[in-house]
Amino acid sequence: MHSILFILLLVAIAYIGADRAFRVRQLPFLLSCCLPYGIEFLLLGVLLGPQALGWIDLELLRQFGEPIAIVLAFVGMVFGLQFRLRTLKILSKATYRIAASQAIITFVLMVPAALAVRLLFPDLFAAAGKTLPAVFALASVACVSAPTAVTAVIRRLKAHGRTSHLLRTVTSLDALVGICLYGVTLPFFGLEGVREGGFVPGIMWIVIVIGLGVALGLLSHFFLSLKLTGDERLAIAVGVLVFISGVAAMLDVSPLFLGLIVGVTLTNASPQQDKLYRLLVTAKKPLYVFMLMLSGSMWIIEGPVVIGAAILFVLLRTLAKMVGARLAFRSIRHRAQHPCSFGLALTGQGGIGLALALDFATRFGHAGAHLVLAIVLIAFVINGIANPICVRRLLAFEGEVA
Amino acid sequence: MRFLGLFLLFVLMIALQSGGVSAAIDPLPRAMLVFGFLLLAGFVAGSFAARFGLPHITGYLLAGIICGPYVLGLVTHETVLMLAPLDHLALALIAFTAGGELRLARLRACGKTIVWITLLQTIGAFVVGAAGMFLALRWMQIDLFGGKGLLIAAIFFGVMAVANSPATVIAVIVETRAHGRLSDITIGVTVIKDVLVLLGFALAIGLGTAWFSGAQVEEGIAVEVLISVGASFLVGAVVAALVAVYLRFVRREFVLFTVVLSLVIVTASEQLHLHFLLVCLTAGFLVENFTRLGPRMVAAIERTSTTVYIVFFALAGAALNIAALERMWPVAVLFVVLRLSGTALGTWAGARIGGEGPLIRRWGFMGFIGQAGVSVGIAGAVAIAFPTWGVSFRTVMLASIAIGQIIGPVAFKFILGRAGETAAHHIREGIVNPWRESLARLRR
Repeated sequence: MHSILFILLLVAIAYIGADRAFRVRQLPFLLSCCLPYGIEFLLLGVLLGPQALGWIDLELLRQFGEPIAIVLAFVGMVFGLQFRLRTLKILSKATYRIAASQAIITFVLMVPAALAVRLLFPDLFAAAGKTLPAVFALASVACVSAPTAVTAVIRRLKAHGRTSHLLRTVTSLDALVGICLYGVTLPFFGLEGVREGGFVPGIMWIVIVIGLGVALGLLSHFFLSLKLTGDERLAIAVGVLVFISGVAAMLDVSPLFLGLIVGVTLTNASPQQDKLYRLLVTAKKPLYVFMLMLSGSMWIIEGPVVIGAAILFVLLRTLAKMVGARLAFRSIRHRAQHPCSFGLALTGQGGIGLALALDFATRFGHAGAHLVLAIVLIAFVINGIANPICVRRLLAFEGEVA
Repeated sequence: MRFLGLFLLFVLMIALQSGGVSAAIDPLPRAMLVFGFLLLAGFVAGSFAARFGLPHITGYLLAGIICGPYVLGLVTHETVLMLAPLDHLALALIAFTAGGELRLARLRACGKTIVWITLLQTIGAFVVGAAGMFLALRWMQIDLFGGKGLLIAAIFFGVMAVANSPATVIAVIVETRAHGRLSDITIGVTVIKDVLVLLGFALAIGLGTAWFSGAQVEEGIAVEVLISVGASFLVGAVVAALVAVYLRFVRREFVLFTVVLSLVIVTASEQLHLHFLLVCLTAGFLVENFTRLGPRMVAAIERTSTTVYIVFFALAGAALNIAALERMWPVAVLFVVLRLSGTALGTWAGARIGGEGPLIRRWGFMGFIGQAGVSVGIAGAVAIAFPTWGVSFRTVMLASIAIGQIIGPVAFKFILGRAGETAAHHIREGIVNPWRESLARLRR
């Protein structure tokens, strides 16, 4: 009971906080850059967590496992609901190629780079069996940028033009690559006492998860395609989300990945799912704030070594994004004037990246998993401050700032 | 289509439960899976029941019974216990809505009838329930309670005969968008009787304990319950004041605020030994009648009530003791018949004194058949207080609650329709429905 009460109190703070945080800020640009979206909630989480006031203790955090799974399934489903093939056809193929190739290149570059970090910090990670999943999780997080933050900066600068549009689209799409890479790489690693790792079980597991996601999406469609009132739709949406997170917990798969597949299937099964998206999206921002607070309370601050690793991660990711953007533009023979600046503008770390880290930390649970969360959170803070400046610089170069 | 979907989900769930990797380690994922399924099953069963003119909540209850430990066994006793906080939360929200349904202006209009029906129904149900059970069990020579226990058990039967379920009444009223004298009288009487039952239970348990221990009647327990009831009202008033402050300064996210508030009330009531149902009822009543934006808040909660009702009634269905009904059905049926006779008699007399028409006089008792949360709680408390015969009493009571809960909503919906108070009737007859009117006013 206490854990539910605490969760709801956090959600209440999140609701009020989200309203304040997502209003257009009237602060000067540079000052608003120092207050990236949501950092205050992250710090509030740290303050409430076991490291400071201890109001959210370790026992309570353990009880948060199931609600976190529901939130992650929600994030995945809401994200997936946006990928309707008929609507996606509006965008040019080049846009998709840029979004996908820069994300994949970032992933490919980040894996060996993160492995090299292990050599630099041998005490940081435990056995290799635990290191590799962490490396893949970090590389997946590295793919994902921050569409909300980028859109906010573009709006703030009243920027209009091709680059602004491309930036918005690419940041919205690359999370799909990140979640998919996370979803298909992690099943190859076993969970102690739960399931075995390896190539064949991994492939089987991926097929099972994707099949299950599609099946659940189609089954949800049976309920959600009926003529429903808003109240009834809410009841079914809650039922479906709880069921998805239950399935994910039973099979020890990522609720985020499963939710994504369900969302994509659902939105392509019927065009009526717009109503569901509109219903769910109202809770998106508060749940993002809730996620930030929870991540903050789970953040284990272990000293300069972790901060060093996080700074290295930020640098490597920035480099990977720059190279990724350059190669992506080259692959479509697009004569972009500032591809590296475009890559720099993609370094923001948003809610999906955080959700991936949270998913990894709650499912794998060991010290290495919490280390991934700590690294991502530090990167979130650093990129949150640096990214608006990078976006402004790019848009100024392109002459799109009003 | 939805049945096919539900069936396939059921198959998937069974497959996962037998092959899921976490199932053996942690029962929580299983509980989540089952809870998600129960919500969907409740929704489907509710709409199926509505097709036959039955209330949605009957469908939710049936879904709970079918998924429960005695039929399919998907929801085990352990799962019900795990989900108890959600059940309490739903009940608190329903109580808040029930309090909000008590509108002073409407209560004043039928105040005389409410007072008389409450009084005579309480006396009638108690006397007929207690005396009838005492005599019938002696006559039939059913020795469930022992010689000394029968008298005390009869008193508890009398108290239980008075008890109703405000949740059932409010759920049917909200679903049918009913408005009129019968709805107002039923909700008013049910809420007042809920308080009287708690007081009656306190007195009975004090009397019973003294009788069995051979000591003098102990005042302590009764006084304790009286204090806790009084304190519940007081805390309810404090909560209403807090809500008024919220409505004055924040004025948004009513549903979320009420959910958080309800959970705080449930948790605090557990700690302070208060009755959270009374706290929420009082708060809902005061907010509705004494704050400017209160009606808007109550209406907002009612608009998102489907999920709450599915949670509460599906879990209530899963918790219904069907095995007890199987074992004790003759005694349970006897009790239900006696209870309804007493209630019908009291309603007839009260409605006659109050000057009500023949429909309320003859059939008004049909709104008082359902029993749920409080009755189950009292039956459990008796079983703990009197272990020698209390378990038999609880079994009989759980069986009769199962009967009442299945018949109650159907009967109440039927009589609301006959009284012409449902929204469907208003639309048919072209009468302006106050629900629609108030919604339109809110939109404006």
